[in-house]
Amino acid sequence: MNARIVTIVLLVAAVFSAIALVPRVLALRLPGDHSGFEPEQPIAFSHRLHSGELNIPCLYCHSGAERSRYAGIPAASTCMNCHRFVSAKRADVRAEEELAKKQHRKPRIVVSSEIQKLYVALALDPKMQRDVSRPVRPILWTRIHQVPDFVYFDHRPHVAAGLVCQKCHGPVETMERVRQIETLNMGWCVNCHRGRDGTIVKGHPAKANSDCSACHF
Amino acid sequence: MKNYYRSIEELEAPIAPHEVDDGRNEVDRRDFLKLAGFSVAAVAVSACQRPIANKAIPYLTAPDEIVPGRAYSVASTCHGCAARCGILVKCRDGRPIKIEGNPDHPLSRGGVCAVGQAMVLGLYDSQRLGAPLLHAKVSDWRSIDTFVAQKLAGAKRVRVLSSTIPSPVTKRVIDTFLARFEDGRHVTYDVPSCSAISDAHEQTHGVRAVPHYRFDKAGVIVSIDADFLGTWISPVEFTKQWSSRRNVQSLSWHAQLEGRMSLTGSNADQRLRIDPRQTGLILTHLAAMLGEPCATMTPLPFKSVILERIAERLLAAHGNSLVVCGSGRVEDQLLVNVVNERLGNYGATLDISAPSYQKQGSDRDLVHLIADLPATDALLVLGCNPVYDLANGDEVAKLISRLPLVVTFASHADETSKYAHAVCPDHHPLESWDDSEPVAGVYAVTQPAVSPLRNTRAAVESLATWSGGPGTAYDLIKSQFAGDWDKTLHDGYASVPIATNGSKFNPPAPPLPGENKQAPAGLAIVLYPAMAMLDGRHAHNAWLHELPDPISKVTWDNYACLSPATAKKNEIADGDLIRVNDVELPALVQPGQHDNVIAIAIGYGRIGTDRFAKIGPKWLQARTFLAPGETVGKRVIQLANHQNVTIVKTGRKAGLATTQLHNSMEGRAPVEETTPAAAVRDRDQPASGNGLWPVMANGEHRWALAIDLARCTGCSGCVIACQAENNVPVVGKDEVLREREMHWIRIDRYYSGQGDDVSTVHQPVMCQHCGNAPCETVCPVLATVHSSDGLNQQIYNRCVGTRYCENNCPYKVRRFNWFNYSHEDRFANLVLNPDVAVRSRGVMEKCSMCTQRIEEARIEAKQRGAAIADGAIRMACEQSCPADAIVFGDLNNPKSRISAVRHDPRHYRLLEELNVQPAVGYLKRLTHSSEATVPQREG
Repeated sequence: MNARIVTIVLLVAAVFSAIALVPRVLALRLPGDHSGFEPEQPIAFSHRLHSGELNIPCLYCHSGAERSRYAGIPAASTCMNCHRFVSAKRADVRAEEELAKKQHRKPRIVVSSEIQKLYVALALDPKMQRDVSRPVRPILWTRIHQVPDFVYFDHRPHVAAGLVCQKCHGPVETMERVRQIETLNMGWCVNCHRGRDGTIVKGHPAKANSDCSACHF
Repeated sequence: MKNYYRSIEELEAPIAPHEVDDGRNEVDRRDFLKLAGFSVAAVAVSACQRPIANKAIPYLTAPDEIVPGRAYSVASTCHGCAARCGILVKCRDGRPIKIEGNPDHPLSRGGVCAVGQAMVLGLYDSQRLGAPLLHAKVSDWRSIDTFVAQKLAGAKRVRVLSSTIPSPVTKRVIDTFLARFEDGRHVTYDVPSCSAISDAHEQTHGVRAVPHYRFDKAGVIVSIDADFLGTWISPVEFTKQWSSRRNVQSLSWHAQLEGRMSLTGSNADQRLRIDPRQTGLILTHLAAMLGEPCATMTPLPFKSVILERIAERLLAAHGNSLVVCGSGRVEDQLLVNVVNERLGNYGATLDISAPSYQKQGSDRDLVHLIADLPATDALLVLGCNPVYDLANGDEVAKLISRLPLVVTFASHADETSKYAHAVCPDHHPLESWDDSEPVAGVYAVTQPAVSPLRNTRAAVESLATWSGGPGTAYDLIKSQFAGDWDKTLHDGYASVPIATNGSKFNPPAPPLPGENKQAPAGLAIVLYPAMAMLDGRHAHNAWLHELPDPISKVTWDNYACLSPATAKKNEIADGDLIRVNDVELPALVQPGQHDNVIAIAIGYGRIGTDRFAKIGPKWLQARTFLAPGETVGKRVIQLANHQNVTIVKTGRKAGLATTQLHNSMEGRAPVEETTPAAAVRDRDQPASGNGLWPVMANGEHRWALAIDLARCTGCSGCVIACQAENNVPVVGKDEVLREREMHWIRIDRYYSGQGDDVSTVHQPVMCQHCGNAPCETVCPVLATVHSSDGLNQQIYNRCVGTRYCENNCPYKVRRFNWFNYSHEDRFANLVLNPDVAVRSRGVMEKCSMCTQRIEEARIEAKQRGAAIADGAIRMACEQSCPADAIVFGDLNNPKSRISAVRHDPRHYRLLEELNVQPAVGYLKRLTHSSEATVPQREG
């Protein structure tokens, strides 16, 4: 009797364990492969809207890609180039304007909850002036695409060679929240580097260095 | 072929020591299986890792001039000593990470010494005072100001005591501060003192100043005890000048007469050992040989024909020679002035009308200050540490402790600040505004590369506040500057008009004040500033403690140098602990030293250096060399007061962490020398191409490096440059004793000859980047491989640490990380170069030929669509070399500097007979002596 109960309990436990473990086993991957990483960010910034719908070039915000190793995350001051004037969705602004017309008053400034976070970070008052009584709070974004510390990836030669950003970062312009698409491991890098021995990319020959010291030093 | 040796032991028994295998390091089978099992488990666990959610925090408002991830430079002035060389502070993301030479600076012309480059580590020193101290308790600036104002209210006799201040603004602020008091005086002293030179010029020229020397204009240089390539007045500037004449076309002739073996002496064409007590006698003889009327004299202690030959050379080079002297006696310096005047050198090779302000100390004023101390109301100590610096420091301490007000501006708790009522820490030089006029007509600015990291305040601001006029250092400097301010900030320097002082030579009354007696019997003590520590102001810098001394190659200590004969007479060997009067020191046998001389470096034994007891890895067999409260080395300056010197063997041994026999090339042909005449005849024999190795593919570039041994002085600036650039760790004394120092460049120092004839050669050796690299063929995991540009790459993340490569390297230039030699101090980690990986335990490393700099230049060239220009890539060692001895470039470019050097008849490569085809080459050292011949190679 007891033995039967134990057997059943063990079997059930085994089945449950299998159910719990199988997805994890299937999800096992090589060390360092973080493809699919899609963390929540402090501000629900939409690349689909900015890059896809509004067609803002990648390098407008990520100008570091041409000037530095890091493409970088734009400074809040770069966001403010537009968001000084744009503080909410057009539909919300229209709705407020119509409501104001009905109620015979001046329309209020509508600020979406996400853009409000930007103003809080910069400690701006409703008139877009710096409110000195409040501290500024830098925005802590979660880094998605990163290579290990012993790899020195540099954006500049890749941009100079005419590579499109999507080649490594995937179709960011379709993503509401950015997700890592590629594995970013060495095999993936080298597969591309090996093919670039002077082949024409965007009208000029691209040469990729396959020496170890191109990335490791 | 000359018989080169690196130490006395090697001369007597030419066997290099090897690492001792005492059998304790064996791993048994069980342990091996346990570890193997654990490793597999660890790999399995690590495979399940999730991405580390690193935060990326962009600027809120982006500054225009900073691009994240991109280095930029700020032109400034070095404050490592009073010479004030021009520097470029390389910063990344607002954080200074390296000091490089400013190539346009009129004095230092791109050179920076080891000390200057190590200054950047001091910025991130966690033991730097972070707030003012009032009565030894942490306080705030307002309380300090109230306290000082209260104490100064009734003060009459106020003294400011400082080391040389080459800054016009600081001096003006001090004068304004002192003008309020009935008897306010500013007293300056230097350690070591150059007061005698100034005093002598006051007598002969009516100007109390040190002349500006021009070694580049002198064809014949005679230096008596002046270490002008090492530590004397402005060594970087002098090295630039001296090395510009070390070529076949205009080789200068340099004689050094000295008691100890100095860096300058080791580079001289002729070296003569003298008893320093006979400097006056020798100078009198020299003056007489040059035709000055002199009374009858005691004969010279050596064959007078030697000095006559020197005098002949000097006479033949009228107006083209230079005699310098490091003596502290005014009589000696008067003789030097007379000699230089007779040789027509004033206005040609030394200039007193536009003098140097790098040494302004006055020993006379200092004596008066100490005599006046009991009646002094307030003493302010700026940029010096009298209780430690002065030979009578203990007495000074007693006097200071009774004063009503003592204020210091020290950045660390030091010997003097112990007695101070208020300690007002000054900014680090990389955080402060300052100006300098090191030489008349040359104005230089110091500008901050970073905001003050701690709650410190510029000394000028403190003084200005107490004078009643608030003023920031920036305003004080800018308001006094008349020229183009923006251009000066960009360049780091400006030319200013020179006020002519109308000096004229006014001979001292005959007979000459020469010395006319034999040297007293017994030992003479020579106290010299160590190349790295100077007067002790850099005692908190771990890089400098671990920098091998250019001559003795000892790290982490000071020691008593004895000549081989004296050591033999007293039965003393290297590392024996001896007692010199009341100080116990390890002994070091120093070839080329005078038998009557015992030489000891000052600058050691500073309080607070017990912090270094913690440096080095923690493991079972780790030994500490410092008991709590014990200092690194010993303070010895008080020995200057002692008339008689006695040495007593204690019978104990001390561990001298010397690197001179480490990484031996097993006595194979190391350095080569040639004469200007022979250099034109020799031709480099191209090595045969046949061998075991496949012929190298010729890539787009072929990087190569060459070191001119005629120019290299062995100053070791490149060692620190490399350390700062490549994140080379400090390992501590215990690890150095185990031959585990990590410097990527070592400077081999070879002696040849004995007694009076010791000559020295310095040879920097880093990875030679062999074309047929022996390390590459033995690496089982392909962690060291060849690049298409001819470099030997070490790939840290692939290395598993077999050390086969190290064993197979004929040059012994590979370094193994036995431990994670990380900085204990997380604050100090801010100095790390983000462009170079920090290596972890079990990984081999070596000179990478600054591959990060090559990549940077390659990427920039690619962006511009242009080829990399010759000279666009500068190695860290090359950039700041004070002697311009290192050249790097592309051999595929026939017009590059390196291609020209490769075709120089003096060019050779180390161990060429091995046919490893190194990319690094050397230019043979040039010497005047006829005995230097091309050594015969075997095979």
